[in-house]
Amino acid sequence: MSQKRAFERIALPHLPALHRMAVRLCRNGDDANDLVQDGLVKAFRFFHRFEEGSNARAWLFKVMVNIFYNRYHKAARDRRLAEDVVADDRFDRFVSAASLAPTRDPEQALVERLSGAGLRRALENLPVDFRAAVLLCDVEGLSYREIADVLECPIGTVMSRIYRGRRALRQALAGDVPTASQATAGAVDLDDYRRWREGAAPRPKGRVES
Amino acid sequence: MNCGDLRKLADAYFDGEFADDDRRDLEAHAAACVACGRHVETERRYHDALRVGLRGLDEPVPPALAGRIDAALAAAARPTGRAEAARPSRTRAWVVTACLAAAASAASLFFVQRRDERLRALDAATAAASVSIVEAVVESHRRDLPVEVASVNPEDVRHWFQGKIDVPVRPPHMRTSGARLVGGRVSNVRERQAAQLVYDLGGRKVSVLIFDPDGMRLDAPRRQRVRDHDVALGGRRGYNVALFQDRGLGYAVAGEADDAEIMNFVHAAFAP
Repeated sequence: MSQKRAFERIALPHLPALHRMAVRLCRNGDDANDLVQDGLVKAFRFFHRFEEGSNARAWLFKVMVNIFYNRYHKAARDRRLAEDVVADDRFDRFVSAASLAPTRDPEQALVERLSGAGLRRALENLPVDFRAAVLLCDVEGLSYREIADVLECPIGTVMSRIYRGRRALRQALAGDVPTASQATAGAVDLDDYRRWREGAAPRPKGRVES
Repeated sequence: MNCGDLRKLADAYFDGEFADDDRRDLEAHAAACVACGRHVETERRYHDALRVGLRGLDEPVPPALAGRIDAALAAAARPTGRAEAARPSRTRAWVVTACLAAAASAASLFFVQRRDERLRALDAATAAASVSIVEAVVESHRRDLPVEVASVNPEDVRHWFQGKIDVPVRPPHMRTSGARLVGGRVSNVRERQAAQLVYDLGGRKVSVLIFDPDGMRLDAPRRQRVRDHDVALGGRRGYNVALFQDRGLGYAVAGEADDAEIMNFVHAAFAP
């Protein structure tokens, strides 16, 4: 079997996943198509490094996401925007009656909003680091360790991004404005927790993006 | 595990990241603490609904993408591209000769083609509707993507495109305009596959996109003539675009240049 065919046999079943991830990252169909194409070509060029039997899906995501970050350099800007929003609690005073209306059954109201255009919009407005982590976990089903490998960051950072990304989505969909107290509450690193349980470390505090 | 731990670790629990003893810790606490038990149930509903909602945001793969990827992989599989650009000089001699001949042939054939009457017949309404083709060309041009074949030699680039896209690619020589060929890549205009030739014009990038124009209206708000040909000119977001047909192929020239500069480029490329 030719190298190209061997690569296609392993890579092309993941084309729909790569494409939907690219669309969510780029928020633009043409850029997404280019990203998928360049990701697959780059993966093909490094196919000799791929270990047969390992997770091809995670490997392809890693190659493509790496190109995305190198090409668009939007992460830093998005991250600053996110920090600006969550760090500002002045908006707490401006909660309108309309915003409070769904609180009669807030959980049910929120669950009903978790689909369609509203969810798509909320997702697109999520900072790219959070968006990537949430999608790799909730849509692509990668483990935290695999996501850490794709995003080239520690597992604790993955946990933090997933935690904060999901809560930012919830706030956006609920029409809430995040408060300072919500912003400073972060996920605990599971490894820190385990070390504390074994008496080898102090009790972990919620962490914000590392 | 206390209430604070549970609230902060619940995501990892839902995501199946817990080892057995972690899970037992959390479930024991949730069973003993009414507030945390309720929290776990509420969060579980949210997580499940979010996961279902996110997975329901379908993004079908465009039909043309598979073809583009196949062509790009075929290109990568060949020992061409950059390696070909560094061709030995003995080969380069006949390449240059062939290139000059091809360019001369292309130029002469270009002027043989009769005017495309459809362009003259288009009215203001169709011109407005055609903004989308200008937009599509600008979109392909402005993406700052690397070339897949890097060469200043049009013949190298022409050779690289052979078999990769479904139209013949004849990169024009730019002997008189000061523009320098940088290379090419497989691109698209709307969802249609296109060869993108990239030129350097005084430090600015100019793209020439070559594609099958069948069924497309290559029109834009302004018109100019290059010898026997109507060239449609339009612009979006600071980029100008020239559109025309040559021997059944669609050509789009795009760059950060005004109409005069774009027309100079077109003239130098296709009507020297």
